[in-house]
Amino acid sequence: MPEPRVITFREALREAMAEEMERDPSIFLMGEEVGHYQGAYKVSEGLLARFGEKRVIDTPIAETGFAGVGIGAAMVGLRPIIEFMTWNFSLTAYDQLVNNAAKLRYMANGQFTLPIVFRGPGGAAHALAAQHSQALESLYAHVPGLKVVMPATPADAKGLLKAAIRDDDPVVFIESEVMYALKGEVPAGEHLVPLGVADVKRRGRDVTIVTWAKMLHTSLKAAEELAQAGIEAEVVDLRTIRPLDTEAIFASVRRTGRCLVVQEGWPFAGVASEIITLVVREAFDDLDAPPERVTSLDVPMPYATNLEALVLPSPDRVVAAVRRLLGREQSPARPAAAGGAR
Amino acid sequence: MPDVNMPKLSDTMEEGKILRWLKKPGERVAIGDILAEVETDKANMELEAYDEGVLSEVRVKEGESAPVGAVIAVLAGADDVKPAARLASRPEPAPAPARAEPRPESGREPWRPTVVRRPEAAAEPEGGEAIKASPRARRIAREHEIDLRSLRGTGPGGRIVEKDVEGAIAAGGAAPKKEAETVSAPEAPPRGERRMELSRVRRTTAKRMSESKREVPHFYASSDIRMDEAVRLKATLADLGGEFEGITFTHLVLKAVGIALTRVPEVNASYDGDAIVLHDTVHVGIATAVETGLIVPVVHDCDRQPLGALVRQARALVERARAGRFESGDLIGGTFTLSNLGMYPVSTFAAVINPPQAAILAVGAIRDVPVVEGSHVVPGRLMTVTLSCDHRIIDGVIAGRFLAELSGLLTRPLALVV
Repeated sequence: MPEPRVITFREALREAMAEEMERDPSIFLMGEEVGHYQGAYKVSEGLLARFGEKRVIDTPIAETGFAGVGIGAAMVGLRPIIEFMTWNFSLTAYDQLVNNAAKLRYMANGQFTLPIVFRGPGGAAHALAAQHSQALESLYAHVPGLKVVMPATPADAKGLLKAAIRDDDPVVFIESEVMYALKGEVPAGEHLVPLGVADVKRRGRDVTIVTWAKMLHTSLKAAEELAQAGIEAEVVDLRTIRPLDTEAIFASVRRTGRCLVVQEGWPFAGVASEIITLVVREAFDDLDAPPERVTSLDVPMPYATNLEALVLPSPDRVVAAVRRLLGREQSPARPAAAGGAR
Repeated sequence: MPDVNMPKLSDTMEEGKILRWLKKPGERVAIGDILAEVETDKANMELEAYDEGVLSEVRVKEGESAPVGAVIAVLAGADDVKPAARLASRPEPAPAPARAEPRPESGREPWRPTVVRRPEAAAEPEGGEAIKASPRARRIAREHEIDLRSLRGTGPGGRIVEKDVEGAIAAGGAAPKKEAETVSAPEAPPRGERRMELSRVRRTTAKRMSESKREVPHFYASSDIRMDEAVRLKATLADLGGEFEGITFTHLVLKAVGIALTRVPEVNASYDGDAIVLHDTVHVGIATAVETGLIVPVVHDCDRQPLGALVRQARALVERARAGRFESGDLIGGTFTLSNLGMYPVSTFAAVINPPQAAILAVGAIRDVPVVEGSHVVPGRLMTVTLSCDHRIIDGVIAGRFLAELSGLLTRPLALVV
């Protein structure tokens, strides 16, 4: 049993890549500033010195190009890790991911596999404004052929990234700038978390909160507050958006009878909508209240930090939604915080 | 003697049907009591009493209709009820004029819309559910046969939630569910559907039959068996009475199957992954319909027991099965199954194997058919049996041999009694 130590989310990702690159010489890392600058967010710090310029490759600012190079390399047997400085920038390479990475195995009748990981931070950080604050997992999860992985803890970051690198299909691996410094216990050495398996991060009997990535921490804070009021929330961390661990969701909802989905992204046609559809269909007779969701408000992200805080899901909004589910609303002391994107 | 009239419950309503009287003649009625449930062209409604007294006469029976305004019942003041009036529930239908006339002597209006309330205050569009309850609360209420109408909802907007139902259960149960239909689908359209929870027996059947059809490669072999002599033998034995009292063709087939299985033991077998298990004993299950579903009581040692003993054992078993009182061993140890639909006009059918058994025999009715004997066509009595076999361990040739034995035993059935 590997011994856990406390390291950061950033270090856990770095450790995952380094261990896998040691294990398998066909793995290489490519992206903007991953080498000589030691990574825009220092995730790849030290990897250039350790593995050399053939395996840690700096690119021009040309996402379409290096995403495509990665896909081609994967087709001929290498196992690339493509870093997007942020997932906002992946949009220029959206065609590469959606039309090439997701489709080639299918269109080649299985003659190629695409063992490639696209990774980088997603979602809002602080005052990065509308174009650089987007949680885009719903866009990628929409596409059959892509796996979408979103860790929320350092241990899961390491275990999931190692599993993603070993996976033979393209994996969209979305991290978070504001979680890179998050510390947690991480097993040393071989530690794998299988894709497609959710994890109950907190047990509770009154309501199921389904969430992932950064919103796990928002939800856990809300659960703490709810516990003060005697409401026990169960918090299910999906860890992988696609494939979706539906059984874990249904099992929890069947116990609690209530389901709230908390997602950072926009409400319309998002992952939360999909989960709620499935819950209503598969666990209908177990529902004691209509499922709810807490999402970002349906607007481009404002630059102003006070407005940004209102747009993003907050523990207050999660608490309010849970109270609605339980029929235990409180009169809104702070209307702005209690009002939610529905 | 206030009249109760058929109320006009919607603009388009011309007549209403009494679904149910909730008060019986002779019963005391207070203002606001529910007298009856009325079905209109739009919905089912409850009819509230407007006056108090004693229901002295019901003029429209359950299931019958009356035009708007017609007198459907009469209330008597508590004092002027005569004993005879208690029985005065005249079954004759209400007078059915095209348009109801108010009774001249009453001087009342023919109907009062105000005497009616919907089963639930929550006003919902016609055709919708009248009771607001979460799916989970509905499920639990269904499982515990709790009448949702007897509960007060504490959820958002008065919704009945799990807590409310659990509270009622903890408090010793609310009003038991009345007519399932009037509760869960009071406004069910004529071509709706009903949901019947699976009984435990039915659940087991569903699971095992799916497994069987999914995993066991079935093949089927049928045989037409001349039953002329068997019919005569059965009549003779029935006349004899004693232990043969109540003998049926099932018993004859049971005995014949018992013997045939000892002669073709490959059919009296089970599949066990890497081996064929041949059973030395011959225990034959009889597929039996009971109220809760299908069960298979087992008649033991069909090869060894004489026919009379088999008749007694099989009859006792089926009786216990129908009564739901089994003794240990009644349902276990079967090595083969018999399914007989011969009491119905079923000429032939194929049964699903009861795993891990290797085969099941489906028995159809005995039919009168023209049979060729030599150069003559004569009236004959034929019974078609169909053997379903697990092809993993039984081949067609074995099925053929078994059916040949069975056919021989039933065609010349004396072997069954000697």
